[in-house]
Amino acid sequence: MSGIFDRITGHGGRSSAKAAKERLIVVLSHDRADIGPGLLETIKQEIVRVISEHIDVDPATVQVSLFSEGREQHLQADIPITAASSRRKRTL
Amino acid sequence: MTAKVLTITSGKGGVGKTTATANIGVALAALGQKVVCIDSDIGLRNLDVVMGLENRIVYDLVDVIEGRARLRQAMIKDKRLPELHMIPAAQTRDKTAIAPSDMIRICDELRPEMDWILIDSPAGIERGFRNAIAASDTALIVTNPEVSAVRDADRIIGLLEAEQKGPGKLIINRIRPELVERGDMLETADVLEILAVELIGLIPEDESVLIATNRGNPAALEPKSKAGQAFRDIARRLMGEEVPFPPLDGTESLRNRLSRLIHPKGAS
Repeated sequence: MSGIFDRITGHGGRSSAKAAKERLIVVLSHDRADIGPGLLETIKQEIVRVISEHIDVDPATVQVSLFSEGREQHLQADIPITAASSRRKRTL
Repeated sequence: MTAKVLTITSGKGGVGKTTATANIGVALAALGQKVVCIDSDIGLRNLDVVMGLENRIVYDLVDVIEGRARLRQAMIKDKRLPELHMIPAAQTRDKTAIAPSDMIRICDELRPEMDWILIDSPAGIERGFRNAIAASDTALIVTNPEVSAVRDADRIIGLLEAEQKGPGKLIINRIRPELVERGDMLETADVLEILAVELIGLIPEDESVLIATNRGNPAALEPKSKAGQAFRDIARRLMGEEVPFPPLDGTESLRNRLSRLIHPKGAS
Protein backbone atom coordinates (compact mmCIF):
# COMPACT_ATOMS: atom_id res chain seq x y z
CA MET A 1 0.00 0.00 0.00
CA SER A 2 2.61 2.49 1.07
CA GLY A 3 4.74 1.57 -1.94
CA ILE A 4 2.04 2.73 -4.34
CA PHE A 5 1.65 6.01 -2.47
CA ASP A 6 5.35 6.59 -2.31
CA ARG A 7 5.59 6.13 -6.06
CA ILE A 8 2.66 8.43 -6.75
CA THR A 9 3.87 11.16 -4.41
CA GLY A 10 7.51 10.74 -5.41
CA HIS A 11 8.69 10.04 -1.88
CA GLY A 12 10.08 6.58 -2.35
CA GLY A 13 13.54 7.64 -1.16
CA ARG A 14 14.70 8.81 2.23
CA SER A 15 12.03 11.01 3.78
CA SER A 16 12.80 14.71 3.98
CA ALA A 17 11.61 14.81 7.62
CA LYS A 18 14.33 12.27 8.50
CA ALA A 19 16.90 14.43 6.76
CA ALA A 20 15.60 17.48 8.67
CA LYS A 21 15.92 15.65 11.99
CA GLU A 22 19.43 14.39 11.33
CA ARG A 23 20.64 17.80 10.17
CA LEU A 24 19.04 19.51 13.16
CA ILE A 25 20.68 17.12 15.62
CA VAL A 26 24.12 17.92 14.20
CA VAL A 27 23.65 21.68 13.89
CA LEU A 28 22.11 22.01 17.36
CA SER A 29 24.91 20.09 19.04
CA HIS A 30 27.35 22.58 17.49
CA ASP A 31 25.11 25.57 18.36
CA ARG A 32 24.62 24.53 21.98
CA ALA A 33 28.26 23.78 22.69
CA ASP A 34 29.40 26.75 20.60
CA ILE A 35 31.93 24.42 18.98
CA GLY A 36 32.08 24.67 15.19
CA PRO A 37 33.30 21.91 12.86
CA GLY A 38 36.68 23.72 12.58
CA LEU A 39 37.30 23.74 16.33
CA LEU A 40 36.25 20.08 16.52
CA GLU A 41 38.92 19.22 13.92
CA THR A 42 41.54 21.16 15.89
CA ILE A 43 40.59 19.30 19.08
CA LYS A 44 40.86 16.01 17.20
CA GLN A 45 44.36 16.81 15.93
CA GLU A 46 45.48 17.81 19.43
CA ILE A 47 44.11 14.60 20.91
CA VAL A 48 45.89 12.53 18.26
CA ARG A 49 49.14 14.39 18.96
CA VAL A 50 48.96 13.81 22.74
CA ILE A 51 47.92 10.14 22.50
CA SER A 52 50.57 9.46 19.84
CA GLU A 53 53.30 10.36 22.33
CA HIS A 54 52.40 7.20 24.24
CA ILE A 55 50.77 4.76 21.83
CA ASP A 56 50.32 4.39 18.09
CA VAL A 57 47.04 5.66 16.71
CA ASP A 58 45.95 6.05 13.13
CA PRO A 59 44.63 9.65 12.77
CA ALA A 60 42.27 8.52 10.00
CA THR A 61 40.36 6.24 12.39
CA VAL A 62 39.98 8.78 15.22
CA GLN A 63 36.53 10.32 15.56
CA VAL A 64 35.75 13.35 17.70
CA SER A 65 32.11 14.36 17.78
CA LEU A 66 29.41 16.07 19.80
CA PHE A 67 26.23 14.47 21.02
CA SER A 68 23.30 15.50 23.21
CA GLU A 69 21.69 13.78 26.16
CA GLY A 70 18.54 15.77 26.72
CA ARG A 71 19.86 19.33 26.71
CA GLU A 72 23.31 18.31 27.99
CA GLN A 73 26.16 18.34 25.50
CA HIS A 74 28.93 15.76 25.40
CA LEU A 75 32.23 15.75 23.57
CA GLN A 76 32.98 12.21 22.47
CA ALA A 77 36.28 10.86 21.22
CA ASP A 78 36.62 7.40 19.72
CA ILE A 79 40.29 6.45 19.38
CA PRO A 80 40.90 2.97 18.01
CA ILE A 81 44.23 1.66 19.28
CA THR A 82 46.58 -0.01 16.82
CA ALA A 83 46.89 -3.72 17.75
CA ALA A 84 49.43 -4.38 20.52
CA SER A 85 51.14 -7.09 18.45
CA SER A 86 51.95 -4.68 15.64
CA ARG A 87 53.08 -2.07 18.16
CA ARG A 88 55.55 -4.57 19.70
CA LYS A 89 56.99 -5.45 16.30
CA ARG A 90 57.72 -1.83 15.67
CA THR A 91 59.48 -1.26 18.98
CA LEU A 92 61.71 -4.28 18.46
CA MET B 1 -4.91 37.46 43.15
CA THR B 2 -1.35 37.06 41.94
CA ALA B 3 -0.99 36.77 38.21
CA LYS B 4 1.32 34.35 36.50
CA VAL B 5 3.42 36.05 33.83
CA LEU B 6 3.76 34.06 30.61
CA THR B 7 6.03 35.23 27.81
CA ILE B 8 5.20 33.94 24.36
CA THR B 9 8.44 33.82 22.40
CA SER B 10 10.11 31.98 19.51
CA GLY B 11 13.33 33.50 18.22
CA LYS B 12 12.20 33.20 14.62
CA GLY B 13 9.55 35.56 13.29
CA GLY B 14 6.32 34.47 11.67
CA VAL B 15 5.82 31.22 13.60
CA GLY B 16 2.65 32.39 15.34
CA LYS B 17 3.62 34.17 18.57
CA THR B 18 0.99 36.89 18.27
CA THR B 19 -1.69 34.44 17.18
CA ALA B 20 -0.82 32.21 20.14
CA THR B 21 -0.87 35.15 22.58
CA ALA B 22 -4.28 36.34 21.36
CA ASN B 23 -5.83 32.88 21.35
CA ILE B 24 -4.46 31.70 24.69
CA GLY B 25 -5.59 35.03 26.19
CA VAL B 26 -9.07 34.58 24.76
CA ALA B 27 -9.23 30.94 25.88
CA LEU B 28 -8.14 31.74 29.45
CA ALA B 29 -10.63 34.63 29.67
CA ALA B 30 -13.37 32.33 28.37
CA LEU B 31 -12.61 30.10 31.38
CA GLY B 32 -13.37 33.09 33.61
CA GLN B 33 -9.74 34.07 34.23
CA LYS B 34 -8.70 37.71 34.42
CA VAL B 35 -6.19 38.14 31.61
CA VAL B 36 -4.12 40.97 30.19
CA CYS B 37 -2.18 40.51 26.94
CA ILE B 38 0.74 42.90 26.50
CA ASP B 39 2.25 43.57 23.07
CA SER B 40 5.96 44.11 23.72
CA ASP B 41 6.90 44.30 20.04
CA ILE B 42 7.58 48.04 20.08
CA GLY B 43 7.44 49.53 16.58
CA LEU B 44 5.79 46.46 15.06
CA ARG B 45 2.45 46.48 16.86
CA ASN B 46 0.20 43.59 15.81
CA LEU B 47 -1.55 42.05 18.78
CA ASP B 48 -4.21 44.77 18.49
CA VAL B 49 -5.28 43.75 14.96
CA VAL B 50 -5.12 40.03 15.69
CA MET B 51 -7.40 40.57 18.70
CA GLY B 52 -9.62 43.00 16.76
CA LEU B 53 -9.01 45.87 19.20
CA GLU B 54 -7.10 48.25 16.90
CA ASN B 55 -9.86 50.87 16.85
CA ARG B 56 -9.87 51.33 20.58
CA ILE B 57 -6.27 52.35 21.21
CA VAL B 58 -5.71 55.66 22.94
CA TYR B 59 -2.52 55.09 24.90
CA ASP B 60 0.19 52.46 24.56
CA LEU B 61 2.87 50.70 26.62
CA VAL B 62 5.48 53.41 26.01
CA ASP B 63 3.00 56.14 27.08
CA VAL B 64 2.67 54.29 30.40
CA ILE B 65 6.42 53.82 30.81
CA GLU B 66 7.14 57.46 30.03
CA GLY B 67 4.39 58.69 32.34
CA ARG B 68 1.95 60.13 29.79
CA ALA B 69 -0.77 57.67 30.80
CA ARG B 70 -1.67 55.49 33.73
CA LEU B 71 -1.66 51.72 33.23
CA ARG B 72 -5.43 51.61 33.56
CA GLN B 73 -5.84 54.16 30.74
CA ALA B 74 -3.74 52.13 28.31
CA MET B 75 -5.46 48.85 29.15
CA ILE B 76 -8.23 48.09 26.64
CA LYS B 77 -11.12 45.99 27.90
CA ASP B 78 -12.35 43.42 25.38
CA LYS B 79 -16.12 43.72 24.90
CA ARG B 80 -16.53 40.05 23.94
CA LEU B 81 -14.99 38.72 27.15
CA PRO B 82 -15.24 40.95 30.22
CA GLU B 83 -12.13 39.44 31.82
CA LEU B 84 -9.89 40.04 28.80
CA HIS B 85 -7.60 43.09 28.46
CA MET B 86 -4.88 44.22 26.09
CA ILE B 87 -2.08 46.75 26.33
CA PRO B 88 -0.83 47.76 22.86
CA ALA B 89 2.77 48.37 21.84
CA ALA B 90 3.84 51.80 20.60
CA GLN B 91 3.95 51.84 16.83
CA THR B 92 6.23 54.81 16.19
CA ARG B 93 9.04 53.95 18.61
CA ASP B 94 11.59 51.14 18.86
CA LYS B 95 12.77 48.50 21.34
CA THR B 96 15.05 50.95 23.12
CA ALA B 97 12.01 52.89 24.34
CA ILE B 98 11.61 50.31 27.10
CA ALA B 99 13.98 48.51 29.44
CA PRO B 100 13.65 45.18 31.27
CA SER B 101 13.11 47.09 34.53
CA ASP B 102 10.06 48.84 32.99
CA MET B 103 8.46 45.50 32.17
CA ILE B 104 9.12 44.25 35.70
CA ARG B 105 7.52 47.40 37.16
CA ILE B 106 4.45 47.15 34.91
CA CYS B 107 3.94 43.46 35.62
CA ASP B 108 4.34 44.07 39.38
CA GLU B 109 1.60 46.67 39.15
CA LEU B 110 -0.69 44.31 37.21
CA ARG B 111 -0.04 41.15 39.21
CA PRO B 112 -2.46 41.82 42.09
CA GLU B 113 -5.35 42.51 39.70
CA MET B 114 -4.93 39.68 37.21
CA ASP B 115 -4.76 35.90 36.99
CA TRP B 116 -2.59 35.88 33.87
CA ILE B 117 -0.28 38.37 32.19
CA LEU B 118 0.61 37.27 28.66
CA ILE B 119 3.54 39.04 27.02
CA ASP B 120 3.84 38.80 23.25
CA SER B 121 7.57 38.91 22.56
CA PRO B 122 9.13 40.33 19.42
CA ALA B 123 11.19 38.03 17.20
CA GLY B 124 14.93 37.93 17.75
CA ILE B 125 17.18 37.57 20.79
CA GLU B 126 18.09 41.22 21.33
CA ARG B 127 16.72 43.99 23.52
CA GLY B 128 13.07 43.27 22.70
CA PHE B 129 13.42 39.65 23.80
CA ARG B 130 15.21 40.70 27.01
CA ASN B 131 12.35 43.11 27.76
CA ALA B 132 9.75 40.44 27.10
CA ILE B 133 11.29 37.85 29.43
CA ALA B 134 12.36 40.23 32.22
CA ALA B 135 9.17 39.77 34.27
CA SER B 136 8.35 36.28 32.99
CA ASP B 137 7.53 33.36 35.29
CA THR B 138 7.24 30.88 32.43
CA ALA B 139 8.00 31.12 28.74
CA LEU B 140 5.87 29.50 26.09
CA ILE B 141 8.09 28.82 23.10
CA VAL B 142 6.29 28.74 19.76
CA THR B 143 7.86 26.81 16.92
CA ASN B 144 6.88 25.23 13.61
CA PRO B 145 7.88 21.69 12.57
CA GLU B 146 10.56 23.08 10.29
CA VAL B 147 14.38 23.25 10.62
CA SER B 148 14.94 27.00 11.02
CA ALA B 149 12.08 27.46 13.50
CA VAL B 150 13.27 24.49 15.60
CA ARG B 151 16.85 25.73 15.54
CA ASP B 152 15.77 29.19 16.72
CA ALA B 153 13.53 27.65 19.40
CA ASP B 154 16.57 25.75 20.67
CA ARG B 155 18.56 28.97 20.90
CA ILE B 156 15.72 30.62 22.85
CA ILE B 157 15.51 27.65 25.24
CA GLY B 158 19.26 27.99 25.83
CA LEU B 159 18.95 31.74 26.49
CA LEU B 160 16.02 31.19 28.87
CA GLU B 161 18.10 28.67 30.81
CA ALA B 162 21.02 31.09 30.93
CA GLU B 163 18.68 33.79 32.30
CA GLN B 164 17.36 31.27 34.87
CA LYS B 165 13.88 31.59 33.40
CA GLY B 166 13.44 27.83 33.31
CA PRO B 167 13.27 25.71 30.22
CA GLY B 168 9.81 26.93 29.18
CA LYS B 169 7.06 24.96 27.50
CA LEU B 170 6.71 24.24 23.82
CA ILE B 171 3.89 24.99 21.40
CA ILE B 172 4.27 23.38 17.98
CA ASN B 173 2.21 25.46 15.58
CA ARG B 174 1.13 24.97 11.97
CA ILE B 175 1.40 21.19 11.92
CA ARG B 176 0.27 19.65 8.63
CA PRO B 177 -0.71 16.05 9.41
CA GLU B 178 -0.70 15.00 5.75
CA LEU B 179 2.94 16.10 5.37
CA VAL B 180 3.92 14.38 8.63
CA GLU B 181 2.21 11.23 7.40
CA ARG B 182 4.16 11.09 4.15
CA GLY B 183 7.45 11.84 5.91
CA ASP B 184 7.89 15.41 4.75
CA MET B 185 7.31 17.20 8.05
CA LEU B 186 9.06 16.65 11.39
CA GLU B 187 6.95 14.58 13.77
CA THR B 188 6.03 15.93 17.19
CA ALA B 189 8.10 13.17 18.82
CA ASP B 190 11.16 14.22 16.81
CA VAL B 191 10.81 17.90 17.71
CA LEU B 192 10.43 16.98 21.40
CA GLU B 193 13.40 14.64 21.27
CA ILE B 194 15.57 17.32 19.66
CA LEU B 195 14.52 20.21 21.92
CA ALA B 196 14.11 18.13 25.11
CA VAL B 197 11.47 20.44 26.52
CA GLU B 198 7.96 19.99 27.89
CA LEU B 199 5.09 20.17 25.39
CA ILE B 200 2.01 22.31 26.11
CA GLY B 201 0.32 22.63 22.74
CA LEU B 202 -0.02 21.10 19.27
CA ILE B 203 -1.75 23.39 16.80
CA PRO B 204 -2.71 22.13 13.36
CA GLU B 205 -2.35 24.36 10.31
CA ASP B 206 -5.87 25.67 9.96
CA GLU B 207 -7.31 28.21 7.57
CA SER B 208 -9.76 29.27 10.27
CA VAL B 209 -6.82 31.08 11.93
CA LEU B 210 -6.29 33.26 8.84
CA ILE B 211 -10.02 33.93 8.54
CA ALA B 212 -10.22 34.75 12.24
CA THR B 213 -7.29 37.16 11.92
CA ASN B 214 -8.91 38.80 8.87
CA ARG B 215 -11.94 39.50 11.02
CA GLY B 216 -10.10 40.31 14.25
CA ASN B 217 -11.98 37.54 15.96
CA PRO B 218 -9.46 35.02 17.42
CA ALA B 219 -10.03 31.39 16.41
CA ALA B 220 -10.33 30.34 20.07
CA LEU B 221 -13.74 32.09 20.01
CA GLU B 222 -14.88 29.78 17.19
CA PRO B 223 -16.27 26.54 18.65
CA LYS B 224 -15.66 24.63 15.40
CA SER B 225 -12.10 25.80 14.70
CA LYS B 226 -9.57 22.98 15.12
CA ALA B 227 -6.77 25.40 15.91
CA GLY B 228 -9.14 27.23 18.25
CA GLN B 229 -9.78 23.97 20.09
CA ALA B 230 -6.03 23.35 20.34
CA PHE B 231 -5.59 26.81 21.92
CA ARG B 232 -8.46 26.15 24.33
CA ASP B 233 -6.65 22.92 25.30
CA ILE B 234 -3.51 24.94 26.08
CA ALA B 235 -5.54 27.23 28.36
CA ARG B 236 -6.88 24.24 30.28
CA ARG B 237 -3.38 22.78 30.61
CA LEU B 238 -2.18 26.13 31.98
CA MET B 239 -5.00 25.87 34.54
CA GLY B 240 -3.50 22.57 35.66
CA GLU B 241 -5.94 20.27 33.93
CA GLU B 242 -4.66 17.07 32.33
CA VAL B 243 -5.78 17.44 28.75
CA PRO B 244 -4.63 14.65 26.42
CA PHE B 245 -3.00 15.68 23.14
CA PRO B 246 -5.33 14.66 20.34
CA PRO B 247 -3.46 12.65 17.71
CA LEU B 248 -2.73 15.13 14.94
CA ASP B 249 0.12 13.37 13.26
CA GLY B 250 -1.35 11.25 10.54
CA THR B 251 -4.75 10.35 11.91
CA GLU B 252 -7.52 11.07 9.47
CA SER B 253 -4.98 12.10 6.91
CA LEU B 254 -5.68 11.90 3.22
CA ARG B 255 -3.55 8.79 3.04
CA ASN B 256 -5.58 6.99 5.69
CA ARG B 257 -8.86 8.08 4.22
CA LEU B 258 -7.79 6.84 0.80
CA SER B 259 -6.48 3.63 2.32
CA ARG B 260 -9.85 3.01 3.85
CA LEU B 261 -11.57 3.74 0.55
CA ILE B 262 -9.37 1.29 -1.30
CA HIS B 263 -9.36 -1.34 1.46
CA PRO B 264 -12.62 -0.76 3.34
CA LYS B 265 -12.02 -3.79 5.57
CA GLY B 266 -8.29 -3.28 5.92
CA ALA B 267 -7.02 -2.42 9.38
CA SER B 268 -4.69 0.31 8.19
